Amino acid sequence: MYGDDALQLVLESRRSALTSTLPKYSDPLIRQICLETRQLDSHIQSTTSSYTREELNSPENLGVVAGLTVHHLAARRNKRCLMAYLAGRVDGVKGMYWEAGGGVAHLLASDRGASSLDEGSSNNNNNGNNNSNSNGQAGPTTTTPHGDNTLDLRSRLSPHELDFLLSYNDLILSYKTPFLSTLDLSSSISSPPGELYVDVQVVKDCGVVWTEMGQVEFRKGSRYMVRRGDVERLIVQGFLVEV
Amino acid sequence: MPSFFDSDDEDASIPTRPSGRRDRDSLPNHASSSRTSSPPSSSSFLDRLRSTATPNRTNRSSSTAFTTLDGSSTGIKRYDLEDVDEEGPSNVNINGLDLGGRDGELGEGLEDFEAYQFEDDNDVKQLIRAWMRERGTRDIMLWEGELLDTVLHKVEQQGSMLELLRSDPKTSEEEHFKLQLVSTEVERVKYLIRSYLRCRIDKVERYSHHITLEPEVQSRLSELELHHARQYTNLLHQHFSSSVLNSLPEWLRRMDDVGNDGTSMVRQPNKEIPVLIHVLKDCGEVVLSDGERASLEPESMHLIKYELVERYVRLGWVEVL
Repeated sequence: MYGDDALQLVLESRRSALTSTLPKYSDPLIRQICLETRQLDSHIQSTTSSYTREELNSPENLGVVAGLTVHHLAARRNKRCLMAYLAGRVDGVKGMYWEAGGGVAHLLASDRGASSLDEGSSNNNNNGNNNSNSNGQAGPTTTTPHGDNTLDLRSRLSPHELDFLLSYNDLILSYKTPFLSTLDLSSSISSPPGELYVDVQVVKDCGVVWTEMGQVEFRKGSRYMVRRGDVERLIVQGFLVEV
Repeated sequence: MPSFFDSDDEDASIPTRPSGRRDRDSLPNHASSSRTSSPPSSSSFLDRLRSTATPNRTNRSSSTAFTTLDGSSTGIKRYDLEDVDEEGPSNVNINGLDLGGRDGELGEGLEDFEAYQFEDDNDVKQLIRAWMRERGTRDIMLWEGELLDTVLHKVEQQGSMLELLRSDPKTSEEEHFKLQLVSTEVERVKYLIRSYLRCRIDKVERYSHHITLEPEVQSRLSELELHHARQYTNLLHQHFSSSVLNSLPEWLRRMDDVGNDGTSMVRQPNKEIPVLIHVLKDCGEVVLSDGERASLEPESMHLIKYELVERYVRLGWVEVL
């Protein structure tokens, strides 16, 4: 039936929204729906071209008009379902982007903090421009090798979504740059800061990090008392765990 | 006159932050920094504001003031220190107690005469109100550019001050502790700014297409936000087109369809969503959709459709909770 595939797509979107997960982009299904919509369109075109306007208005062709209406509505519904699916995914991708503190490289390099930090351009941008601030942002100065997860974000996104994410990152960077001298817009806003210092445990080696007290080398297993602002990013990315 | 380093009992007031609503309330008092620092007798607030306007000068004078604080510091130097160290715990403590009257006067001079006047007012409190308003409503509020600039500038000043004092070998143990309190406050103000901006950016993206079509909404945004709205709309349309729309028949490729049920593809703020408001100033009566009348008396609270009180929210006569 017309619209069955679209319904399936919407259900999938609904499911991912309810569980706040981002499953793999269902490319085959989407192609299927696009194909169906094009077929509907050609039905409509061929029907309308084989009748004149007068013929369609006459009562004996009522069935044809009804058919046209159904095709038309089905096509529009398909489009709406496709849009809803895409929009839902865009929201999901954006949500993950903000959750990861705007670190696209990190987001793409690993799944949910399962892997390591990438010294990508976005991280440099986030950490580098901060010089008039006493907090002295921490930028990891070394990187560790990482193994790619088979279910990483990159493979779950469609190529277009990947493009979208990267361009979105550029947009946000250009939005937040004027504020960078005082604050990083991408840091967490989940709760107001209560304490300046946090007790953290290192769960993954992340090399030498510049903090307020100078260089600190975070070795796996050790515990430190450090300024929250200095290590916020590392906590978000899963290198450190608050104790 | 209390100065930055001479009071002891404020240490006890250092917040162990509660969570939730209470937290939001406690934020203003402790985070309140700037405008309410006690001014030396005759100088007006605006003078003091101006005197802090040039960071170089402030840094220099404040360091002098600091080193001579315990000794023979002159009135001028002390005065400078207080300007910069507005976040001093002692100042925080006296906020809202004995300075209420003076701040009220200042408020009148600075604010739009139509807007509601708050008894004690400072930048951070204004920011908190803007933030609450922004978070409580679906619609985009007026961009508080001037306020934000002031606060950002002060945060930056505080940052460099803190750095300076922290690296100063003459700073004593106890003063280091107090510096930490100050920097906690700075962090909390930063949180406010961040949350405010992020909330707006979220709305801007949600309604980006609508924004690009409506000059009235555009007037409420900062230039940066407007730019972002336009770019984002383009990006989104491009993404939709290349993902799906280009493989659909041509008559289905538009981004501004209206569905059969009247739902438009251009998303707009839903002004029918109810908001919880706290009335500060008598707004008279509003007519509800079923023809009933409700009077918005001061100090009363209502759950009401946003469109009915939109005007009063913008004027600041009612607070959105």
